[in-house]
Amino acid sequence: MGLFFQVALDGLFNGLLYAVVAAGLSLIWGVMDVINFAHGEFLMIAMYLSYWLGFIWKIDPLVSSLAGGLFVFLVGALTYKLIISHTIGKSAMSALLATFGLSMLLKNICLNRFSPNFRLLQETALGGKTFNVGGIIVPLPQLVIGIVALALLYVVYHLVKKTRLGWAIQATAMDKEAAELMGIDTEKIYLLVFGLGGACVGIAGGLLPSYLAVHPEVGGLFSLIAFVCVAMGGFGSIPGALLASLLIGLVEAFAGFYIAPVFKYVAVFGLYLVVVMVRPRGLFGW
Amino acid sequence: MKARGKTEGKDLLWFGLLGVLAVMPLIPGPLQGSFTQHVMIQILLYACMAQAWNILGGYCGQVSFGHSVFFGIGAYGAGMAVVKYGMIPWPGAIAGALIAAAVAVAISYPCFKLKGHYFAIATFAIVEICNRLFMVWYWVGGALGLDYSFSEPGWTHFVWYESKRGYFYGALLLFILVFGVVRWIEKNRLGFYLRAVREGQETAESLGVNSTKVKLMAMAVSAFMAALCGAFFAQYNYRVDPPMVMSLDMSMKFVLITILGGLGTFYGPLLGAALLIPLQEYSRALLGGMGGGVDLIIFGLLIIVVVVYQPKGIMGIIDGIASKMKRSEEGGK
Amino acid sequence: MALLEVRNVTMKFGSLVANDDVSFDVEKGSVVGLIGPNGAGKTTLFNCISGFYKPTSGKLFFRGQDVTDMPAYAVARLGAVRTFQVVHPLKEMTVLDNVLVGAFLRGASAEKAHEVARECLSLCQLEEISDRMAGGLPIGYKKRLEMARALATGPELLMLDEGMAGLTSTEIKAAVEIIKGLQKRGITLLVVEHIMEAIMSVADKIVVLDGGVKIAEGAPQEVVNDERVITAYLGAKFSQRLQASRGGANNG
Repeated sequence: MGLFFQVALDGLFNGLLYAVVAAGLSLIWGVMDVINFAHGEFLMIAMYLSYWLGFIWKIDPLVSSLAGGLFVFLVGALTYKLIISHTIGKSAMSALLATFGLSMLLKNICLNRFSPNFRLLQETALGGKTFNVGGIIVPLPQLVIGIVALALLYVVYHLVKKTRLGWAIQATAMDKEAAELMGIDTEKIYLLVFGLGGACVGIAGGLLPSYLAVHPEVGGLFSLIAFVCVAMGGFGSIPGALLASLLIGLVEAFAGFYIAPVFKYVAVFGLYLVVVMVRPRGLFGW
Repeated sequence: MKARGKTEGKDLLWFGLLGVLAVMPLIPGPLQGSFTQHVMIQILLYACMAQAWNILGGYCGQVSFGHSVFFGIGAYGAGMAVVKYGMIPWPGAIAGALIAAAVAVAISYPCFKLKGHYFAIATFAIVEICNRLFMVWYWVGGALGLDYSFSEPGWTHFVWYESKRGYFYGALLLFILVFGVVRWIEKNRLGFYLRAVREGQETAESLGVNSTKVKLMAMAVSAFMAALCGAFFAQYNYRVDPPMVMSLDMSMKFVLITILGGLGTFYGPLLGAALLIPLQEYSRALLGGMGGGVDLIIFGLLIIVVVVYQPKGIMGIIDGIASKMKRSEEGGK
Repeated sequence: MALLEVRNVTMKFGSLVANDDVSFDVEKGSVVGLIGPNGAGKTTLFNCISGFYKPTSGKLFFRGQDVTDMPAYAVARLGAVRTFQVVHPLKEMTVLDNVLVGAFLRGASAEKAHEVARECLSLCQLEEISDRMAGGLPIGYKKRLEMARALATGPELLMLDEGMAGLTSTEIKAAVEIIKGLQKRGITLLVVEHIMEAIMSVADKIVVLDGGVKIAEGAPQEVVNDERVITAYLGAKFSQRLQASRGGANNG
């Protein structure tokens, strides 16, 4: 029984991490109807940044994560300016394909510069620390990331639902032209949304190197799983994305542990197919 | 009269192209090199893959990221026939193509209900699932895949070891088949219905077009062709394993080559492959000293630039130049 | 037996009743106008007849066959083809290609389809621009393209949804001529139209909808003089205008 809860806890921690990646993606999808294929690579960038800051200047990932958030915010904003803004109004696939190109570019630049090696930071404040609650081992880094993830989700959700900026974002999402007529600078909103989506993964990615090795391929699977979470949660719904992420995390952990590791992703992607066949707009979408 | 002249011009271009391709390996000189022939074979193969995808994604407007699954089924069809059953690859390739078409129809029937990104993500999901399942499916060799042992070189076993010329003509046959079918489709009812469904499903229905049936037909033909390409791929590499054939990266190649060359155009897939494959092969050979991934960095950049600035691909550039020339010609008169 | 029989068709969207128990016939070879103020349920009824909506209750018969549950493409194949009020050109296809899509309904032969398409293009005066992309045409041409495309399917019943809205008066005259031409070729027409003057001159029968209910049916003259129609839809102003135009026609 203890093992069951251990697996569940691991699943939930992974789910929370997916939720942060998914939240940024969901925000972008909801407001701009764009799938950012390079979202996983944004995570990778933050991980590399945090790794090198730690490796060269011994800066702890706890600190680097802020730098990661800021840096990837800029990367996101730049991506919008240079690429996405040119695809608005074109076919729905163009943004997806362009960001796929971007993901190839980023991934292979890292491959070229940093080699395909797996890199993990040693001797970080959180790294390797665990504590024991009633026979269940709780890893500290995952716990911290889980808490940060929930906090980030709350901030994003609050920002969209409760602030003036959030109203402007929602108005832009509903009807871009009407929002412009009301004096909202939709260009700026889009830029900000892309930046914010980036900042979410940037902060999370910055924390990761204390327990997850960074390598050029690390982002790819995160992207795919985050797509599934967002789509399953229902387009643009942050609570939906959170719930779907937790569900995916649990399914992944249980399938991996009780069936076989390779069935992890069969179960995850299979679940997506089943859900969208029954509810073509996701769990929370109508 | 004008239309007739246009068709004749198109025929001339097509048969001229085939003639040039047919004699290319016979010309003495640099084209005889093994590496050059390898590049030419790859160009033809990837052009065929992209064209197979183009039927569904370009002409019919249903963007699938799942074509590596059909490609893989074809590769495994040939591989199983040769490695598991000690047969010649031909029946395996045909069976693989038929299975791929059937699987494609079975998968897409429910998936076509999904809109936009939901459909795209569903096709990604199917690739990931198939990749993992083939990894643990021991009947088809699991993660180790299927390795060809030596067989008598020639057309019967469709393997050659010394010279690549056999493969070149094999690829050319595949090219004639795939491009020939698309040429036929373009001129006939199915071609008009495919484009009508792409441009407006409701309108097509109002004109008596059963859009579901049209999409499923496009899917079946597209998957069949993709599977034949897969069979060729297995024969050419003397082996097949899941990551080689069934992966998101492979799926994306189908899409990106077409986009690069020109979506929904006849020559787009060939142009896309003719640009990308040499880039990939020669940059690997020449820029190897710059470290891994350089070819993919360039490819990634190329994709971004094309999607953002020239969504109609190379064909768009050519059309632009052609219409400019026409205008200046008319202006001169 | 009429070509098209509409029997007690009711269409509800939630609590909104768009068509309420509507019945009428369209006789073979006739031109029937379907009129009514905005929101009267004309386009909804059109969508029911052409198979885009399935009515909540009631039946539709075309050539004696029950088409109530048929999908749109099957209704079109039987020979009842529609155009759209908001034009739906197949944008990235040429004008000729657009019409060819329709022409292929009656056979897979490309040669035959080209023949039919050319004929329909000339009938709708579009031959000049047959090589242009449909997406970039001015609205008047797009409206005619809708008609040419539907015509190319070789319909027995052609249903035109506001084919003249937004056209200039010369364009309307051209459209009326085309309709007359179609009638001569034996095509039955059901026409939703806002522009009364145009439809009055060609219609054999007018059906008037208001608030989803059929309030009148009859020859144009009868309908125009019907008290309910005048109050519900035409209004005093139009009535006067019509009277004036009739006076003008008599003088001429």
